[in-house]
Amino acid sequence: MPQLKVLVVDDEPGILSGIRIILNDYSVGYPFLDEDFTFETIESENAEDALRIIENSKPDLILLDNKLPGMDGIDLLELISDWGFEIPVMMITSFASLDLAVKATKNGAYNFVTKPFTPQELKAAMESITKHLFLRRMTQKLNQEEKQVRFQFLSVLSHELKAPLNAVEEFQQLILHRQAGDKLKDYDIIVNRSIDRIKAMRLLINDLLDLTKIESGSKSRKIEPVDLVPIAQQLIENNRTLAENSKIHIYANFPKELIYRADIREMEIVINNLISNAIKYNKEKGSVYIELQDLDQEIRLIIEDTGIGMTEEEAAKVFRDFIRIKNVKTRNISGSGLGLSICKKIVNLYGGQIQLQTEVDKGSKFIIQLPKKETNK
Amino acid sequence: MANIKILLVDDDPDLIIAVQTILENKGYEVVAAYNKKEGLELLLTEKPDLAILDVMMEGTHDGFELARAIKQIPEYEKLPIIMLTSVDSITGVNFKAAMSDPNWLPADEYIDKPVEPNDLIETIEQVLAAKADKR
Repeated sequence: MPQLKVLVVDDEPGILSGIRIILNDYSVGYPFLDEDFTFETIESENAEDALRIIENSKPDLILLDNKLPGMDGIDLLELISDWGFEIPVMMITSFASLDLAVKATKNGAYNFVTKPFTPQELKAAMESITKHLFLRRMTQKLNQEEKQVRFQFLSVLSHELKAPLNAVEEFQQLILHRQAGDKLKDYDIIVNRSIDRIKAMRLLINDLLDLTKIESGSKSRKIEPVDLVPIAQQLIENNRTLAENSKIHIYANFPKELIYRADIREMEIVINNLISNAIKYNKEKGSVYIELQDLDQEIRLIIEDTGIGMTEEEAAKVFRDFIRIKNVKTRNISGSGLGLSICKKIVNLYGGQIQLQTEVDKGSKFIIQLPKKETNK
Repeated sequence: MANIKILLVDDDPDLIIAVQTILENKGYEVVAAYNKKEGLELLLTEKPDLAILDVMMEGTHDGFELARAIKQIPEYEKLPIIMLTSVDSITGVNFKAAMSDPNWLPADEYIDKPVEPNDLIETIEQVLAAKADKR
């Protein structure tokens, strides 16, 4: 159970012991928290002692009387914020004068409790300040995590963007220094591979734009009834050359029409990514099976291939950003490492889910379930 | 020169093609691997005289890990290693400066990608000459 350290500063022993007794068997809970907060009090009768305790014990909350022997509560409050301690403070005042309230708030007090107070009044004030503390800590933690995730994403992204540049520049160096021979023909492979890398980089940038669009929210989304059947058929046609290069046959099983309320571009991204993956990670003369199903509560898109499949370990991470399964079989397959991550993010936007069944050397089967919400019926 | 064998490890097949072309053009024999594991296997079967390793492969530090693994094999403790890096700017680590730390990574030289052919050849010759001096 998380216990908060509460420093109580008051020169009246009766108040100190009263607060201790009330807080000892009080706890604050929220529906979204697994455990309640309980309180442990540390007591101090003057501001000078209190400062020492603040420095040494780092309390989570401070309950502070204004009228103290020596330094005043208000002055201590000012010192606490000057010294950079981010501790929420509740003022205890004999009478809530407006002047004092304004000054204390300016100096960073979170709330007030007026003497004499009932246990209920103290508990209500404690509940409020504890909630404030909790939310502030959560926000700090989330900001920190978000920064970290963003940094990691940018690190990997810059590596992914540099890799094709490095390769192409390296090839240019070969040409410049005539490393592969004297005839133009000697450089055919190098030039072709350079073009492939540049194309792959363009795809990466496009995927990145898709990802940014999805993550920036719904501004550019246009949800309307869309027939997925002609979209899927068109995308199969677009991928036909890719499939024929490896003599892969595509089987489609579609209903007459399948109307779903969606952003057409998002649907295209999902279907296209899965089709092109099913072709790219397939085997020579393999097949791809695509099915659209219109069920009662949801629609389903099933894409199955007879390709190289994945290990359990690979399948577990394949939906993350920049994950590309690297092994002998995938070495010469180009991809941004963002495709499935984008698919998953889009599917999440619709409250749907992606299932993956896969077996090494047998193939992979992606099942996408998109719920028909009220608006979709 | 003709008998020098170089182990080249990089997860980018195009970088392998390019660097291999440069090296073979200069008369070096090249054996290439695409990851840490294959690199270590090739080391043991091919017994190269020098290793050129990419830093960021499947894992962000695979090249370093491979270099450490190589140096732990008594037979290859003194194998000259050149690291190819394109990660300086990301990690903020100045590899060359860090080299003076004896506990730092067990590589002899660091070259930033993309590699300039003459630089690479020069570095290889220097590293091999330094090794010959020590003997």
